[in-house]
Amino acid sequence: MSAQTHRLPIGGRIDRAKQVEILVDGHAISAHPGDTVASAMLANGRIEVGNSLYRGRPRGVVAAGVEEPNALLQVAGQCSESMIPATTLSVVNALAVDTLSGLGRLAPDADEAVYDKKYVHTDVLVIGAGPAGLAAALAAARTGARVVLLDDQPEPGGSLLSGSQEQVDGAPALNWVNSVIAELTTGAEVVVLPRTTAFGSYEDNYVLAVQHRTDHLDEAPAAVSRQRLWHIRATRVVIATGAHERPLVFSGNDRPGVMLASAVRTYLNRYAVRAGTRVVVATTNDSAYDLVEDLLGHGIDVPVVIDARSDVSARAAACGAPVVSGSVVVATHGETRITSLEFSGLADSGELTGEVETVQCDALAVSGGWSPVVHLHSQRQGTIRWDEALAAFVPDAPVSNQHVVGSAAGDFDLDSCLAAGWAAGGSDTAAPRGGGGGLGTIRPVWLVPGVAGQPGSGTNTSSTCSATRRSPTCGARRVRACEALNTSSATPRSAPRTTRAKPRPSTPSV
Amino acid sequence: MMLLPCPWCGPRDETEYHYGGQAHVAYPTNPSELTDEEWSRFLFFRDNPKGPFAERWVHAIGCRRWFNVVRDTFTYEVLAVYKPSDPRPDITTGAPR
Repeated sequence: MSAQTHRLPIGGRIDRAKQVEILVDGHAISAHPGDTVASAMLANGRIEVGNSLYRGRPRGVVAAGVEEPNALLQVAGQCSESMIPATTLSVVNALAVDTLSGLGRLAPDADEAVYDKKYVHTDVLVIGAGPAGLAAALAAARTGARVVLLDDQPEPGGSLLSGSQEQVDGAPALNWVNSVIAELTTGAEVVVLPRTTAFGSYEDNYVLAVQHRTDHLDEAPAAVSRQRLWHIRATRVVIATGAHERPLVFSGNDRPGVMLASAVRTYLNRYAVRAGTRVVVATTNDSAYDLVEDLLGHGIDVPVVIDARSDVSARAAACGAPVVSGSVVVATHGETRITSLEFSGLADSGELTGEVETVQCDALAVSGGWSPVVHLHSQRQGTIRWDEALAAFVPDAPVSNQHVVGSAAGDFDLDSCLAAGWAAGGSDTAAPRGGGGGLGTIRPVWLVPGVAGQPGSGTNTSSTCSATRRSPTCGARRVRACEALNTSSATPRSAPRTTRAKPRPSTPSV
Repeated sequence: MMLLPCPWCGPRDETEYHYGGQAHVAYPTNPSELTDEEWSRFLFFRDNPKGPFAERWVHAIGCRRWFNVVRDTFTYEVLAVYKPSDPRPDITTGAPR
């Protein structure tokens, strides 16, 4: 069995007293209860997962949640399932999984497990147990309302589980989370459902959610169904589903070791796993500096922070690592896993400027901004609008009897997330005060030109489509990208440094 | 799933009801004098607005009685519920969207 070489000696929300053994592609690796398969793999120094589907390119773990595009698993056993993100699968003893190259297999055997369903009515349904959702649930519970609180994670807290310095009412935020859950679970009219994902929102606040009840247990109790489908009719719905971090699009951004900054932070703080020993951070906003401080706090080397913004924000200046502003990553190198990267200045015109510099690293954390998770809002015909400052689509007018709060509404400051959640819960008392979060100003970078001078040269050709499609309301930016394409293809700077034969037929995974 | 308020039983899930089509389609006073086209229009032609629409529903697995609903066909919002003997409420605009 491999050792947990990348596990930090302290910290994390894992049960170090116990050890479990799982099989990944036939290799035994050790983990602790509280790990996901992805965090266990990373703790054992394994970041590579199944190769890409069409071109067979090496792929690694990118994210830490449901947004994971690469680490897809086939789970062996009685209830064999495929295409399960390793980032969402809790480890249990003797769990056996195989990594997939983007294509699963249906189990030939009949599924003998029991699945049931339950119909409930509630005054307030809160979807998401992050700071905004918890504030909404607590505020609603204190008004005497019947409350149902759903969250897809094994424990409540949302983004606060991945944090370190965040505070609520002057104390560590997780203390506040614990006190909120203690108060909610003693309430007679409150139902808290962990491991539950709301996946459908229909007329008159009818919400469907699936609860995973036994997969995380070593021994499934005989009288408990494997999954339960909740049919929930709510008077009011509070959508506090959070936001997904966006990756950056540059040549070689799918190389194992390139991860989302928020995911690196989640592995660091929540699972006590370091994604690398020498981590470069590339960002377009302030959120990645929380990661920089945490990495340095754990003694992990951060050789450089590559910030796309031309100004060094106050947050960046205080982070303690060398910051290169107005720059972007242009290429990565490494046999499979990343071993070095190149970065260069990026002019306002979208073209590269200055010298291309190389830096050695074994992980690259990228943050290309944040996209609110608006799916449930959109399912109810809720409209969205393009927010130029956030560079993201945010909910416009709310659906009747629904509230979208927190980062799902484009609000990334902890204090205002708590205030919005508290107000949506229906309380007129003073909301808890938070400290932390915030994105600062954002410089959206949709497509980084290749070092050869062509945006989307080589591997990035297919990226061009997805990158321009991401900003349909930004005509100016699209035009700029096209101009860069035309001028640079007319006068190539140098020979392509990354020689990859053909563009892949698929869009890049990240 | 819509939540429809039966005037007699209260709010129930949509699955308890059957749909009865457009409300207030009067039977012709002298059907034998209609042309084929007029008769077919009475039988088959119905309004299809985007917005408030008066329609009939029956609480099929409840009280089994018919009633009328004014419903916004875009937002699916129920704007009024009334008994078949009552006149259509004067609702021309749905919820602002």
